[in-house]
Amino acid sequence: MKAWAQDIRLWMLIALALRLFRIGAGDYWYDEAFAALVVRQDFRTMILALAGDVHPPLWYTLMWGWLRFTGGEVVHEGLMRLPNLVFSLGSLYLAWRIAASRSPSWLKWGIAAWMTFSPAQIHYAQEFRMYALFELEFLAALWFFLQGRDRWAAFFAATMMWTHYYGLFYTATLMFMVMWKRRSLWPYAWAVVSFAPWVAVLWAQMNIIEGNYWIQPLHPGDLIYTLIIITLGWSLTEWIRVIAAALIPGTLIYAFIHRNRKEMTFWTWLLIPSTMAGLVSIVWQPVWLHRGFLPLSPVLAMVVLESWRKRDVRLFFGTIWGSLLALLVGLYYVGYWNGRSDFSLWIAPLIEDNWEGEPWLLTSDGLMVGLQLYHPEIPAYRIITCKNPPGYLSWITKAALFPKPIDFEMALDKWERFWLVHDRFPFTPKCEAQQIEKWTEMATREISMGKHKLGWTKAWLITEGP
Amino acid sequence: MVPEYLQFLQRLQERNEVLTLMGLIGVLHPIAYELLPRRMKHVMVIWTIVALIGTILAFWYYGRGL
Repeated sequence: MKAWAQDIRLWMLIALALRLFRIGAGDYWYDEAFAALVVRQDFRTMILALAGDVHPPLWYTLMWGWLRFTGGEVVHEGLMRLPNLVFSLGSLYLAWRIAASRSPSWLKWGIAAWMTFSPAQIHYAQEFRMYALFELEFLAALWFFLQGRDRWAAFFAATMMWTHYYGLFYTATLMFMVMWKRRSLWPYAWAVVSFAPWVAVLWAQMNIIEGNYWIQPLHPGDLIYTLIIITLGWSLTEWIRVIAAALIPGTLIYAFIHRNRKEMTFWTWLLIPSTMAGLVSIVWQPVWLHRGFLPLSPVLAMVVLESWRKRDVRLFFGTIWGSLLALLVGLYYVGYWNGRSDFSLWIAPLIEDNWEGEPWLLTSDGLMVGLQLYHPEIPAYRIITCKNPPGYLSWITKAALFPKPIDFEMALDKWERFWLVHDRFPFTPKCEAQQIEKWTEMATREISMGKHKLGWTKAWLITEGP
Repeated sequence: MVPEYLQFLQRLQERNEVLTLMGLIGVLHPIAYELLPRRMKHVMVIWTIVALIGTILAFWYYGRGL
């Protein structure tokens, strides 16, 4: 292999350029906007809001500190996403180190190329959420575990659990591997104990979201979808996704047939956490979350690359995967769907042409979060609807982040004019659709704000009298 | 749920079915290619034809909803 390809600094430089390019482009999408709104609160409110949501608080706490350290504005997307870029570069470096400790010798540059160009890696390096940090912590735990330095591995296992609940699956896997190697479990026991203070909150969160979370019951297709997301990211067109659904399992099966039979550690790393997540989803409630498997992406790449021992095999798979990655990285920057939102464009028809200072009453948490974040000057209220649909924030989180919700009748008493803004999407309950139909009978103006495949957003001006 | 919900669930179901079918094709291809004994390589030819038909069907099925 050429000397330049063996130099990690070169890969880091390319990775940095790819991750910096357009890092601040676009508005935050819903989940990012939620994170941004949360870290803008004072610390106590932030923890209260998170206690009603579905994630632990470590990454939010770091970003809370980052926002105050930079003294910046939370709506400065590029600056806020920057720490995730650094975490992602850290993951590239650690994956390189792990690969360098294994044979064959070209494995490390193969991994470096994968981590640099994988659209999933670029996506999460540029997304204001916890996944880049989560992957870094996982790789750090794996690296120290492989080195036999269990205290450090346990430390990173603990941070993993405080960053994302899938850290529990990875920590359990780590403990299983430690037992398998007949090493002491004590450092990991401390990791588990360190997480204990949050367990009560976790339990409460799981009860809050039960039956009200967007994840659907597990289907074999979800496994393939997950493989696509953690390797190729989100920038695929639907057609490429169909092809990738055959290509990825095919590549994996080839890797399994040609696996290194003496060293099955990495296969274990892939199988145990995914089996646990699958079992929990079947036995208890759906928890299979594709993003939660992102940390396994470098491990997946390693078992695949290790199986490409013959030169012509490397040429065959390398050509297919290389062309696919080049195409998808291109599509990522064109923005087929790279996780950015056009929130500002979405609300423009109302805010720019029709709004004269009236309050907005919203049925959707997504719009409410976006408005609070980008337009705090608009008096926006969450209207009380018949049911909280899946994917929406719990009432605990809403109570921490939003002004007191308002009833439609109360709004009629309180204001002469107000805008009712409704987001129609697949999870909208039927009773809410009926409520909207009834409420909008007294509307004097209707504005269409946006339309997408399975939904639309409209605003109605409600005035007292005709 | 509103009518869009049923449409959404149906789409999700279709996506999962197509991904499963394509996944099966992807999984069986290297198995047939790598593990079949040399004298049974004609099975590989038959399998490739089946896989191609499966892929065309998947594209047709998925394409209706796009």
